[in-house]
Amino acid sequence: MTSSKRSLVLACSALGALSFLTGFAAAQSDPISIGVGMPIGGQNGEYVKRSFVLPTEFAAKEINAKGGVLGRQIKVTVEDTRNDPSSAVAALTKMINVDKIIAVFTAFTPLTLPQLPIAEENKVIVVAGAMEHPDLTKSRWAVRMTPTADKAGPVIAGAARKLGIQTAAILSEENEAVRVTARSFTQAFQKEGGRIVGDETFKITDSEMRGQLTKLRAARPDTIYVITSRGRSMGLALKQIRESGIKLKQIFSNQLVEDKEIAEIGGNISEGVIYTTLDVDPEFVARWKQANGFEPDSNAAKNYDATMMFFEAIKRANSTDPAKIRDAIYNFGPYKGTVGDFRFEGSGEPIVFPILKIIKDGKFVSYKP
Amino acid sequence: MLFLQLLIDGLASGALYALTAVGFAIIYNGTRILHMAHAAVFTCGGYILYVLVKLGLHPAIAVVFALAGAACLGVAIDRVVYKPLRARKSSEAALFVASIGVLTLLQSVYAIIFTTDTLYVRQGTLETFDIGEIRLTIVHIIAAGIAIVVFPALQLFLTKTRYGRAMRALADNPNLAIVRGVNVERLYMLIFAVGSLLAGFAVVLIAYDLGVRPEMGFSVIFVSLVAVIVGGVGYLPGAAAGGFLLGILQNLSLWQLSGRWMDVIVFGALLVFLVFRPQGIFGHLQSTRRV
Repeated sequence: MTSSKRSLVLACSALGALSFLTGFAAAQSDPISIGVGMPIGGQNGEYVKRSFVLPTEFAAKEINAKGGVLGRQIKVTVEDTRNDPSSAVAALTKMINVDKIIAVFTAFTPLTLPQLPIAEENKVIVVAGAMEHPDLTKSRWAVRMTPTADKAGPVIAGAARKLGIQTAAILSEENEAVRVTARSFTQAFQKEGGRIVGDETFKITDSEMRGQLTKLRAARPDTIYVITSRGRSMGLALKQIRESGIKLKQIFSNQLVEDKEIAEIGGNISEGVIYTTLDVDPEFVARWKQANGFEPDSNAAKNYDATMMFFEAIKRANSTDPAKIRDAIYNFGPYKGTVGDFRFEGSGEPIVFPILKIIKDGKFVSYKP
Repeated sequence: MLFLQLLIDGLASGALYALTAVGFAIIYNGTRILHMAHAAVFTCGGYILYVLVKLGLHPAIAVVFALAGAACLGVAIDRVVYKPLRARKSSEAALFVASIGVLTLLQSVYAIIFTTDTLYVRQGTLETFDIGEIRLTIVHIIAAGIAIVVFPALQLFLTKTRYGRAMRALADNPNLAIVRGVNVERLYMLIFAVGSLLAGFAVVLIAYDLGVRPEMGFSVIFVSLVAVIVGGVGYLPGAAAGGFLLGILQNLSLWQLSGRWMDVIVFGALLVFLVFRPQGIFGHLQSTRRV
């Protein structure tokens, strides 16, 4: 080889190495891309933005301000899943192919369950912080940060029986996860000697529940257990229960009674309601309120926790490979989040149980039956 | 007690359906436009009420502006969208598609301005009254009052006034009405104003009770469309009767069935009428198209 040829080979090798290193460095400094697929455009869109989209954006903002994860910033892409399963699948597909996400933060059973096969096929982690349907974590690519829907019913049933309540009625939204809670309550309440005297449902889009309540009123229950997946439905249900004249010893509900829309409907409609939730760290509540101007509900806290835990899992995995991050989550061990202590033991199902609270003078106060 | 309470609930819902159905039918009978944007006019009334009440206006005065606003929007849609299409001899299908376009556009505008959240005109529970074991809300009572006043007043307007008779003439035979010197374009404005006003009466009650949201008009208008078909297209009292019938059927279904059957009842009624009596309950009166 002549010296000129040797020089040419050396120069090409140097250029190749340089471009490889530059590309490597660029890859290392590229943001880590995550997606948020939520029904933000339609009915209840503002609630979804408050409690499901903002928590992930807020967590990413906080972590980016501290230098990001593994020295890389977090990039959040938000897509509207439009309360429609096919749109939810299309949104996820777009985020996988265009935005190159490694995880999608999602919610709501009818939208998330159809996304699972797409996520599994593309090895993308599905983080559904506040989703309660038991089937979610049958997928080896899914994780949640909330107790499953069947955990709340027995807790409410126990509290009702301790209050001496003999007969109960259920008013719930037609939503599979909500119905899981209703069924678990029915079984536990009957097992403890109580009697279910009415079980009425309404659609998520319904505003009027007066017909159902008229029927429940005729059944003369001691209590009504209201279960919804949106604050608006919860607020209108409580308002119309108060207007219906049903004489109740107690009203029970789920954590949606904390939503700020209940206060907008006003009239102390939620006063005295006992409900299941998780205990949100007051320091987080103060920090969130200062940044966003309103208090977070427990769903916002769960979604914030889910996002922060995901970032922590990236650190523990020391990689952005979704499979390694998922394994880090599944073997997380004890973790202290804003909604308390929980742990994962080999799956995406957290070991965490709901607690009871009561609304007293408009405040969410711990309740011991 | 249960039956009677459900019947009263049904009559209250039916009164609201009847108001929007008659408004929809007046527009369809007079113009042959399947005015789906009626849903957006309906919602507009709710937002006007919300804004004015939040600005501190007395609700009764805000209601007047809401009714006027709904009527103005209905007329504006006719002038801006339908009139140019009519001038180009567009088909009924083209007008229908245009009305869907207006509905979608206005719903999006409402969502951009007011967000997709429900906005509540008032706070707290409604005032209630007990008659024995029957419970009435103030909305039940006002809905009944409006139905009792508005429908006879409308009947008087349509039968006893010059403009009312002209509207009926236009609905019965447009060509003859033109030959007789009826100013069709002016009459179209009146038809849209009256039809939209009726939707306004319904929405102020619903907004006062349950709040306002961008897509709230669609389901009400859809039930109203079914009411028009059930009552008999072309016959205004039929539309009112159809509205009451659907409201009562929806609520009475709860007597024996679960709440999830309420929509099945509405669309079941639609299918039954379409298949077995496409002319509706009062179809035999359709030939004269009496109002």
